[in-house]
Amino acid sequence: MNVIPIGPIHPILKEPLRIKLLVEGENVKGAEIDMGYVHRGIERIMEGKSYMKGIHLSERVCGICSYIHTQTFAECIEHMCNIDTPEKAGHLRVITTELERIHSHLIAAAVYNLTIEHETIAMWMLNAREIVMNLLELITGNRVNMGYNVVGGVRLDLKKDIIDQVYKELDLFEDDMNNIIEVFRSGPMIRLRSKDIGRLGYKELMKTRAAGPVARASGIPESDWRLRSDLYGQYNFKPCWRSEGDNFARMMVRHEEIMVSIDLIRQALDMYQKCSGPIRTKAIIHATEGEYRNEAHRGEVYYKMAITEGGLIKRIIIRTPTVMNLEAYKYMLKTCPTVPDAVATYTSIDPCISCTERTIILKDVITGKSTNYKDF
Amino acid sequence: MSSSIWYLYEFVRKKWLKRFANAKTEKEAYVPPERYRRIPVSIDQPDNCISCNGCYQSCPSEAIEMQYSEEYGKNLPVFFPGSCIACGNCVETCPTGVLEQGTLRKEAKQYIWTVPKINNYIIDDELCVKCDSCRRICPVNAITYENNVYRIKSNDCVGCNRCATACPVENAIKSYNEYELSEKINRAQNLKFLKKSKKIKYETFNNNSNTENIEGISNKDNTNDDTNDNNIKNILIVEEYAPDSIDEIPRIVSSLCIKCNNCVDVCPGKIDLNELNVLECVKCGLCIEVCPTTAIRTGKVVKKTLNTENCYIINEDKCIGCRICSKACNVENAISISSETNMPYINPDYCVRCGLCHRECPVDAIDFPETSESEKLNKYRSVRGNFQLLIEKDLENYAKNYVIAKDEILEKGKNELNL
Repeated sequence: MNVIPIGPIHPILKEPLRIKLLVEGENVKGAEIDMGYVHRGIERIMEGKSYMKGIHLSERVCGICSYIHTQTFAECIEHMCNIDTPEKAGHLRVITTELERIHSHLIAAAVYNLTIEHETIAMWMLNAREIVMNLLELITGNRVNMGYNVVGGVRLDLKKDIIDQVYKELDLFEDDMNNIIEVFRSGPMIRLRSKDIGRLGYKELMKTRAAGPVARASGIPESDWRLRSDLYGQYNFKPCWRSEGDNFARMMVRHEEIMVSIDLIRQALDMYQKCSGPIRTKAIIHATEGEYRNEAHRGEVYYKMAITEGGLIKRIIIRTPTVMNLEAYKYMLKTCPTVPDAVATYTSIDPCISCTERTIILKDVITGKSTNYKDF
Repeated sequence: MSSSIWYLYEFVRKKWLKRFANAKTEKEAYVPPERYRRIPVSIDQPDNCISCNGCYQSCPSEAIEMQYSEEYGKNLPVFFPGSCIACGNCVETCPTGVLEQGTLRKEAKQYIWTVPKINNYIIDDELCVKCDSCRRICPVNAITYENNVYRIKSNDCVGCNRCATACPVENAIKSYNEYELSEKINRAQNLKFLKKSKKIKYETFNNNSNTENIEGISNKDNTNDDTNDNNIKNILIVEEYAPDSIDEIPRIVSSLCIKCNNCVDVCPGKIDLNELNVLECVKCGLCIEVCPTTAIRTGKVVKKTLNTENCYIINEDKCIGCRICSKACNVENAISISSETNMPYINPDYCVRCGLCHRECPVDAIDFPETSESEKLNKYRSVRGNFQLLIEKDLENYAKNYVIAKDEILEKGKNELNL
């Protein structure tokens, strides 16, 4: 038994993390994951701050799925204090979220293709993503950390010329994506490196409570929180899913979700043009506690917070999907014959480490019992 | 070889040379869209800035500092481009609209905005003297007056501190900032952890239930005890939770409470925040320590003035004795009526120098000299008034006694004459 350490700083890793692969020759027998390199204590910093400052901090939880964090934060407070957001704001939120979902999935796909040594597709993907980033910049005014959400609505309205441009660019982007996905689906080398690698069965998945595309690739379409959301109820929307549970299925679920997102953006734009009115309402904050869930690009993101009179955050807890997805990684390793396959499988779950590192478990020294947030 | 000849032929073509000479990037590649929020924020008209600190307080990344500008003679915001995150909070917060970032101010002007801030201000009803000073000085009209109560609208307030400096009474407008609140929350959570881990409960302080447990005896054999409640075993009273640290059961002031639940977290008894009542209390005093706004308190509050150098005085040559000032004044015992002259006079010990009487006086008879003058007049008037009262009381007594004596003499005379 030998150990191959990967990380904390390594070309394949977007974020610092340490994987110790236990190998016998070339066969991977197990893995150890060390985290804690980018723990910033965001929840602790938020305590005592006004909620309009906290929303910008929650955006910095993650660099890729930043917008969905602000949306969940805002919807959590709206849900707690019964603030009705206007129709327009809902459509605008869907447009921005889905654009961001596309860009997140494209990064995940590009990184996966790099790890299976297919740089051409990776570059194509990143090139296509640039169109989406430009659209985000056009709508919100910033590229990554947009600062577009406020509690009670969104910051800016769309204009006629922006709408026309979004339609036009989406058509271009769709043609591009169709080609790239076709290449990925039919490429023999990709098939060799992805099919039946890193399988995650239904039973193993239920042990780990994995979420997002990882769960949907293993045959759980109902894991999509968009089905339970009030926002998405007005659209014609179906979750994408596959039942194989290997790397190929996970990547294909992401590709299909990109196409579904394009469709959703078009629907939202059509419905947006039919409604009128403001894009923000007055946010009247009462002292309450509440929680809210949303479907982020990697799975379920969960916010729970307590707020005081006048909108100061007292306590906040954020749970992100990669916690569960990394747990599923050790079950995927059983069907990884080589070290590069183990690395490719790791990128196929689209890990987001800076999202993950926020958990605190209190342990009683005397009794050895661990306590969670609910007991306090 | 042939290919190099082809290259030579290609390079000397007029079309290729033209394109080579005029090569440049497409314009869309480097011109940002109209909405792009450029860093840092630009100040359009610094003349209009009112130095309210709104932008500085609303910045989530502390990228703004207020610095004195020689040119304009006031504090102006200075932006650090390295810290700015282009969130646009300062642009939407600015009450005068001098900041601009992209097209954010132009497009978001009509929308509702709630102002984030570091310092939050709140009015203490027990100390407020209803003098209207804060409402008149507020630059953003965030203070309302309804049902004889002043309130600061937290959505509109920009935290400029003007109301707190204008307020004549000490601590009548309380400010609590996010750093303090964060510390208090941390302290409350630590105490809560202690409470839960040591299983401190209200019953343990009751002398009726388990007398042995109150003495702080830990590691005691509980085998002989027939306690039904397993929670009350091995109680160790920690020094933070010492009962009877304060004299009386604290009360909660409704106007100050922001319902942060810190007191509920640390209390071993029961506090009802919906009704604002302390139900079960062991007088440990920890709720007072963790309250960020001093909403939970014991004892009487004293209205102390901030200005002791000057005091209002009623000019008795001009006064017409209408007593509007004494009706307007909201402080007890500050204005009393002299029984000698039937004119009001001001007591500098109670007066909070809010200037309400000065504004209400119809003949402008109230001046604002040094305190010693007012004290002199107050002493003179109160002594004279007391003297007058004494004489009146004595006269009353004499009159009463005279009437009683007269009746007795009459009766005696009748008895003697046997009428």
